[in-house]
Amino acid sequence: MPIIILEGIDGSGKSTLAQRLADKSPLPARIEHRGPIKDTVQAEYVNPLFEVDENELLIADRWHVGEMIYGPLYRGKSMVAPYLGAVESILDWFGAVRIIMSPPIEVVRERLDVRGEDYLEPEHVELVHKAYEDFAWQYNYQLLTDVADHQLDYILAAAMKHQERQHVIAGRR
Amino acid sequence: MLLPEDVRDEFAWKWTNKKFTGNTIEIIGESFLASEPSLFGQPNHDYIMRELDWYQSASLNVNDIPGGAPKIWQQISSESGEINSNYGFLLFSEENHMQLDNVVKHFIADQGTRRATAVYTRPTIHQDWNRDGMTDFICTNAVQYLIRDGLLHVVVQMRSNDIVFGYRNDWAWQKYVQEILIQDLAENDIFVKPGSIVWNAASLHMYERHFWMLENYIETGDPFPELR
Repeated sequence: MPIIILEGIDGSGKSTLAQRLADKSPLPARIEHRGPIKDTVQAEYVNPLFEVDENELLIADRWHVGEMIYGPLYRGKSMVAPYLGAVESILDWFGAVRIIMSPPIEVVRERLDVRGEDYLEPEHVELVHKAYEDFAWQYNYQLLTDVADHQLDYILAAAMKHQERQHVIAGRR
Repeated sequence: MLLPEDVRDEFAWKWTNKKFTGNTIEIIGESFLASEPSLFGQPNHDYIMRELDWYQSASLNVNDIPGGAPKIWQQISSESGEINSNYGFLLFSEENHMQLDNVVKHFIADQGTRRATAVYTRPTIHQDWNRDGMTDFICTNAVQYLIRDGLLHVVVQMRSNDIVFGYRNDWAWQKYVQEILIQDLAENDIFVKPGSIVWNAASLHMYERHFWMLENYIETGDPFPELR
């Protein structure tokens, strides 16, 4: 069950990248999105990882990092923060590829203007943009400004590595 | 430093060469880089999340574990469900002298400190371990934190550690605390990334009921079978 986690500020290109990866994936791909947390951390970010089919690619178009960053800003605190270690170690266990999309802030502002995005307050754009970049530094997420077509293959190949590892283990029998 | 695969191989060697007595394979003073969330067997993430919730509650009663207490907790608790080893209680509570706060204070004073140690066990454990019919002698002695090159390293000092259930649940707890501490330090303008977790167990052991995992590991190379 390969997993790709895409995170980043609104307007960073996550959904577009998710669709491009899904279109190119050799396995059937399922795109899932998480907005503001409505249930427990386990129900929203952990249990669904165990429900992914063995031969299916899960592409998360925003997962737990969004709650880490938007939670304190708009809801007073992050529900994920106390469980971050647990969620990250489970993603490690699955060999999840983790990416933070972070185009230049001017590009983000332009996209948000075109969309008429009203969730993210304009005065918070810089703060959130920086918070995602800091998170990428701290937790070793790949920080990408844009993804060229040929780079899609690298991302997909990295995600499939986990499955290959399982096959290698099975092959020793 | 030994890696998880080295530890697995040591246990497999002891099993193959019958280097154990009774029904337990044991390595004394094992020290290794705890870079994997399990040594043998698949982690039970559902239970791990529930246990983290219980630790956060700091409750000293196993009946408060969300979804019910597993057998092992029931076996070591008193008749009313009391235990000593709620790690949240031991780390966060005033009754146990605010161990995590002490760690943060040491780092605020000196980021290069070697004093940032959370003490889990206590002098009175020799009397407390079997009061009211419980058998709970705290398994973690202490955990020391070190900041080096911008990384927060964790050195876990265990008195006694079951290599299957004990390690994977305790590892999840240590990873969880590492992240909490990173966030607490950031609130105090100390910005660090997660570093290594080093595991030091006075007794790292495997019980007979899990010997099949060694056979399976030797035969297939797979250390993470689903539990039977």
